[in-house]
Amino acid sequence: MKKKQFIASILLAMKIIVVQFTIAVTFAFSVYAKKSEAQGILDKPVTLTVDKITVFKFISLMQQQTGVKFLYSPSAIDGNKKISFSGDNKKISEALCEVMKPLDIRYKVVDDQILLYPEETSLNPLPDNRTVNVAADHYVGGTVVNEKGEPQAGVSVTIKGSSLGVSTNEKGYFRINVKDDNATLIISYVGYKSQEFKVGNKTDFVLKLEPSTDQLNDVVVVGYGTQKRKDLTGSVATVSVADAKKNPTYDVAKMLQGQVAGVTVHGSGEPGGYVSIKVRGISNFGNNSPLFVIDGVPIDAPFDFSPEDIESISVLKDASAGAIYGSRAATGVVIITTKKGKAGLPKITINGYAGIQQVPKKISVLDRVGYQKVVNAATTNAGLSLVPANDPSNPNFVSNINTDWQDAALKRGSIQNYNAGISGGSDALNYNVSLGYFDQTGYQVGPQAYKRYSLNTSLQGKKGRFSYGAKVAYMYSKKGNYAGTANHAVFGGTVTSMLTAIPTMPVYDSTKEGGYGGTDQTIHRAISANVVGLNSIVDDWSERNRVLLNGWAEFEIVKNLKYKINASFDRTDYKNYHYEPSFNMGFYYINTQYYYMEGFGQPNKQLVENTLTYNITEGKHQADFLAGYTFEKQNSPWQTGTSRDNGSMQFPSFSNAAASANTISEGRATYVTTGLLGRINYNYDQRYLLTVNFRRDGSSKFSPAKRYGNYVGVAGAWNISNEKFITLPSAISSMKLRGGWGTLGNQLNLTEYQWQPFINTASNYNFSNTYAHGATTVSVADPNLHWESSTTSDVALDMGFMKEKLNLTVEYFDKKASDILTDLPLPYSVGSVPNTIRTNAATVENKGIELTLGYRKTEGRFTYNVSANFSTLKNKVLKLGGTNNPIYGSGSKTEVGRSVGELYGYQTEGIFQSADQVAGHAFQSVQTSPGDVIFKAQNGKNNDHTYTLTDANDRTYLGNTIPKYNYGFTFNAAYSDFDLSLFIQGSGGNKVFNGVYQALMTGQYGNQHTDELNFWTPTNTNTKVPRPIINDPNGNNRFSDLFVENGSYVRLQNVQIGYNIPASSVLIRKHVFNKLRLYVAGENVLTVSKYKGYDPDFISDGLFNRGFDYGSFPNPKTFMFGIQAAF
Amino acid sequence: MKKIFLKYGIAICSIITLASCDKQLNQVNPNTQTSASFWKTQDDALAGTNACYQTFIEDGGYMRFSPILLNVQGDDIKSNSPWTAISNAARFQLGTADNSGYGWTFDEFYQGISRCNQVIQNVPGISMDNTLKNRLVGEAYFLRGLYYFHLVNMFGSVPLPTTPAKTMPQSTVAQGWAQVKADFKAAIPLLPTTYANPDKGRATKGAAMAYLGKAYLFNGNFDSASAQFKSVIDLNVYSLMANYADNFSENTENNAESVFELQFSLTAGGTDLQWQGVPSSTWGFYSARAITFGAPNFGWTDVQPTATALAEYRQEKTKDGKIDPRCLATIFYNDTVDTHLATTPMYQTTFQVAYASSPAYMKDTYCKKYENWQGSKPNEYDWKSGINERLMRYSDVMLMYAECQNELGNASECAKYIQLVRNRANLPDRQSEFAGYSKTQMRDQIGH
Repeated sequence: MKKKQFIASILLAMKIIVVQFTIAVTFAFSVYAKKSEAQGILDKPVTLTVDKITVFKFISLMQQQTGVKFLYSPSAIDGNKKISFSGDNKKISEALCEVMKPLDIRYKVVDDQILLYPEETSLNPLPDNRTVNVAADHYVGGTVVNEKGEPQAGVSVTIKGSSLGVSTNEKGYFRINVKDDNATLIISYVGYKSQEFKVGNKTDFVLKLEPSTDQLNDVVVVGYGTQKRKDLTGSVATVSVADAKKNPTYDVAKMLQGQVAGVTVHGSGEPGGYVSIKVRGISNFGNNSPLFVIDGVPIDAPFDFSPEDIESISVLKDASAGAIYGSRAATGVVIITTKKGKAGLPKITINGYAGIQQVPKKISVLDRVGYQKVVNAATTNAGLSLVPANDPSNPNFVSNINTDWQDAALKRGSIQNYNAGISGGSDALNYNVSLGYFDQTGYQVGPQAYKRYSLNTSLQGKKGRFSYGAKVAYMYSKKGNYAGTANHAVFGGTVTSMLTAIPTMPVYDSTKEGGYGGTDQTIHRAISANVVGLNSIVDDWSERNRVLLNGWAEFEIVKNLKYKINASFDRTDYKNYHYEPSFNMGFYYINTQYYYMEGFGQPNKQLVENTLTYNITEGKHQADFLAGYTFEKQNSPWQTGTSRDNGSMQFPSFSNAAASANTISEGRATYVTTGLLGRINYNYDQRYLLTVNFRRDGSSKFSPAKRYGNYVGVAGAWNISNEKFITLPSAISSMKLRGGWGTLGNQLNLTEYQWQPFINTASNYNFSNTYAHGATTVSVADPNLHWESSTTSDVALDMGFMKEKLNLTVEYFDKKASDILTDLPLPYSVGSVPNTIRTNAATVENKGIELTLGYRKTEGRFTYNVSANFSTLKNKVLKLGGTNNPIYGSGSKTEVGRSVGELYGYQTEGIFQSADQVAGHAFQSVQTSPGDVIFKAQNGKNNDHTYTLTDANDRTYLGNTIPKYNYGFTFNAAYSDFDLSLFIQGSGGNKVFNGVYQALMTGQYGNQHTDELNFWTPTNTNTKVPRPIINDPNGNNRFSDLFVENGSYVRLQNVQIGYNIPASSVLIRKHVFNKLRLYVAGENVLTVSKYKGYDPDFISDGLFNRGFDYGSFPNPKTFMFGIQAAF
Repeated sequence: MKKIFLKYGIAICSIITLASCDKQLNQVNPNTQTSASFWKTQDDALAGTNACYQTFIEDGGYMRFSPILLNVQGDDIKSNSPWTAISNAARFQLGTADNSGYGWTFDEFYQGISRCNQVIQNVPGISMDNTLKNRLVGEAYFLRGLYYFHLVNMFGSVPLPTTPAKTMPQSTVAQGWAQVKADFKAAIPLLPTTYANPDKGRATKGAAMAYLGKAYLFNGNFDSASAQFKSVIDLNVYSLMANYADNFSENTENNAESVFELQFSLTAGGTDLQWQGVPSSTWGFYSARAITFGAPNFGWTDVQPTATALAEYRQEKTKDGKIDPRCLATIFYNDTVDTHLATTPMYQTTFQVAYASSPAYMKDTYCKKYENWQGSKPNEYDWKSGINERLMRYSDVMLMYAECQNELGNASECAKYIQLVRNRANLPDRQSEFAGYSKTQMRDQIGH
């Protein structure tokens, strides 16, 4: 009994080996590569004397004695034949020859095992339980080529209706014994169609592979398992990893931009900068990033890992698909698998690209003359004396400095990425090791850059009823940050500051401490940051060291019942460093004290998952069961030291500081989540599919009474094309209707221990310069905090046309997030700090339609495919908690019945042309004069001068910041050895607030946009630009529709042209390379948009302030060259 | 057999891990104790009371915005600050869209009140030294009264919570003043008259009486006010400092003239300024008043005295014909023409040298009080000043007492106390002249 099982599992293993893996392992490997190794096994000595025993017995005795494993199909070879043998210290090969040859059994070494097979099947048999029955010898041979005409190794060639099969060798050649002329050959290879050819009287064939257009049988990675696309009931999108990887980025999230319907991504051009990613809109008021699961391990900060290692990406968009991740999936799930080794000779791959990056456009700002003209007008209008630096009659007049700050502060950045990998192994243990290096330098002057070194090692294998695997990933990164100073705000960040820096300020000034130029309070009157100086002087960087260890083992308890344990440990050690010496960059930017800070943290996470799976097939019924228990514990300790004192440090180190200058603080936090999970997939006759998911999660972030949340997902699908009573037009090759409903939880927007009030032990005071310890409760807490939840309903139609050449998915979803954690404002009089209470209050709904379309075609040597996705999103706030008071941001308002964070400000009506007009309009300010902006009173009192405009009554909605639609379009084509790809993405239907433009149209002492030159004067009245006036008494620069712009854009994100060194080239023939591809690419090539700022794709992920461009680093234009090689 | 073992083994193991893992859902905050476990010991009571003082020295408190708001909304002060939170306050324009500055003040004072309420509610129940208990509760009453004094005075109709974490409706101004007076009255019997070091700077009986008097005065209850001021004077623990400028310097803090002052220090705490938010151990006890009010090239010059204020100070000379020393301690200006000084010392230079190249600055006037111009600092750009803010000085008490006496019709008593204060500035003795003033004349004189 035991033995039978053993053999059965071997058989299963062989099935997997042959059917799936041989295709990738080239014939070449099994032929010569193994010579030496094979010889070693075959040379092992055997001493055995037996009489009339069965072949099976003989094999098992040999196995016992030599330790060499034998593989065979009991039905393929006649193992019950009796044999006799006698040998002393004979080689295995000799023994096998002697015994097996007469029985027409041949042998060969596969890895470190000996495969026995009947002579007829030639090489690489496909073992099967069916009896081998060969009538006569009739060998045919041939070559299999791919669509480019190159010989393709590893293609499986089988005879229809029999179990016989071979695979092609490295020259694409095969030879097979067919029964007769009526036989049909079937060729199949991953990524290509399975094709049939009649043998006829031919003996030599050239068979051509055609790329597969059928995605229905593609295996899709879902939560805790895989499914075939045709069996899916939930909303699971797969990403074309090859297309996604064409975007040069360090962050997998950025790679997904425009790739999947319903996924929106915003990035910035800052090296190592933050990328925001959302699946189906905003479903909470905090962290809307989806859960990333890499190789079965939930991962925070996925940007630490090299995207090069990725093999597959699936996005679970709806609750029925995500419910298995329960409390983690409310914002969607991105499941990533990384490359795994495959049995065979070591395979080495090297990929790399290098490119240059620069800001795609320049913003038109004033030079010295224009600047002085505007500021002189502004001071004159305000009744002030001219600024000395701008007054030609003043000895301090500046005429010899005319800094173009964009020229001074921008440079050419670079991007480089290299990846080397080796993979191989045997079925018992295979490996994949890859090393990556990513390096991006910023395009703003300064040492800022992002560098990452990564190592990813994965091992996996199978022995008997055990499967096992392990993964070790290590990563080191260093990110240099742009100047943020501890002592002085850099208003609007370094991008806005670069633009508003005045042209009369020099970049360098050796007379000033630090050597950089600055403004003078008296001479310039302008507060102006020298970003070149600040970026260079302030040393600010962060470093991350991360280790991820993961191991899993699966044991098949009885047939089809498997227990799996998956454990992982993920630890990051980070360090944040900041040093700013004392410096003098004028006026506000005079720093008399150094500030030194080192912050450390060691967040770490332990995860243990136990799962049991069982599958059963009974006639037309097929069901999979999954049950599991997960445990996750996350610790987040941190420590920060700071030092601050007069002057600069001689050398930045705490040791060099006076004890009184140093402070230290630390914190620790732990949270635990446990989850019970279950899933049933039921399939009746490939027609009716049903999935039921369940998860019960517990979290330590809630009070014991509110600790657990239960989440259910139900989804069904109907494969209409498999239905007997429906005959579809022949053009429709597949059709599936599916729908689902489910609930999910979320706890990410809560920090540890938040449900209880705590004592603040730093409310200190002093008496007569003596420290007096103070402790008290300063913050109010809500003990009833509980899980945020979201409910999604989903209906979709998947269709395939023209034999799956054209695929279309149309999907509608309605996602309602409720109990959203919100910081509800508390009355100030409660005295809580912060003066808000975090509580479950709001409800928000997202609805949309998603379309995904794919088409592929091959014509001769020309193949191409097109894929497109389009999604709409409508966001609506249904509840805000308490009395549903609107939540105001700076220039935004979130109100029930509208979408989150709509722009909210004054509406303008042109410029006052006369004093009479001022007097006839609602009152704005005592100093309102002709040349000032007319703001509209919203309550019908626009023409009533006795009415005063107020923020509370006269601001209005100025536009929705959430794009109504997002889309992506990919075109890939190959002709002969050349390939071309284009990727276009965009979004539209949203308004954005151009904060940079607002900062450049102030009419104050800072530098201005060239538009400002057209300011109103009594003789220049036909203009929209108000008169500049210092202190802006009318508030012309206030938050108004003057700075609201259309945020729609369409971008040619990527163009790539590649060349494959042809198979006929010397390099490949001589085995220098297996594959060599060279390419050039352009990133962010062209953008069509009306937006006046640098880049309509900017980072703005504020809580209720969305769509605000306050100087996000524009995405650079990149030109790069790359190489992909395999050995 | 083996299979059964395996099956049950796995089942049992899962149940064990399940149960033990779910126990781990009880996580205890390792950083600090829960509020429920506080207010049990004498140390808790003391630390809880100390915390009541802290919000007074935050940004919205006297670190920066309280002195700004209390100063700029007068006709003797101007603000040309580029920061509208300051310059708009000086123009009596406060928008609701941006609550920078005044909003912080409002917010932080209520944080202080919440802490006082915790002490008043919890400390009486703690078993501890009774004398100390009374004093701590007294300090909390005094501080709550002082916070409410500021709130009612600055904002008018405000809510008046007297228990922690309570949402309250707005009260009337009269209810506000009633609460202020009730708190000071409750504090007076519980507080000591003086403290020994290191407790100098805590609330005293005299401080509570002086503020109770001031509350009466602000409501026109001259009788009651006068009585409180008189009892402060009769405590006989206060006297005027001989040198007027000692009231604004770091070296002469908690001096004989000081009735109540907020404690700033360069040395006792962490290195960060107390902006806003949840208090952190890195916070120091610095005042940012010096840099904010500081003269150009030494500070931000967000607040300046007006030329009128300077003219008022320059009206009357000392007995020996010199400029009033209070003028010299209060305002930086180009005073070479009317003093004995050839130049005005200003940090490590002089006024005349510092502004030699800017005639506009030479003509202007700048704040000198609470600036560190006498020490070794080159300017105020380090943001850090350790000068205590004297909220109530004995001279205030004397002058308020005099004002009450005038209102009550006791011109001679009024003149006596006014001259007592004038003597310190070495101004001519005009006691008998003042004694002959009518009530209105005297009001004008006090106004000057």
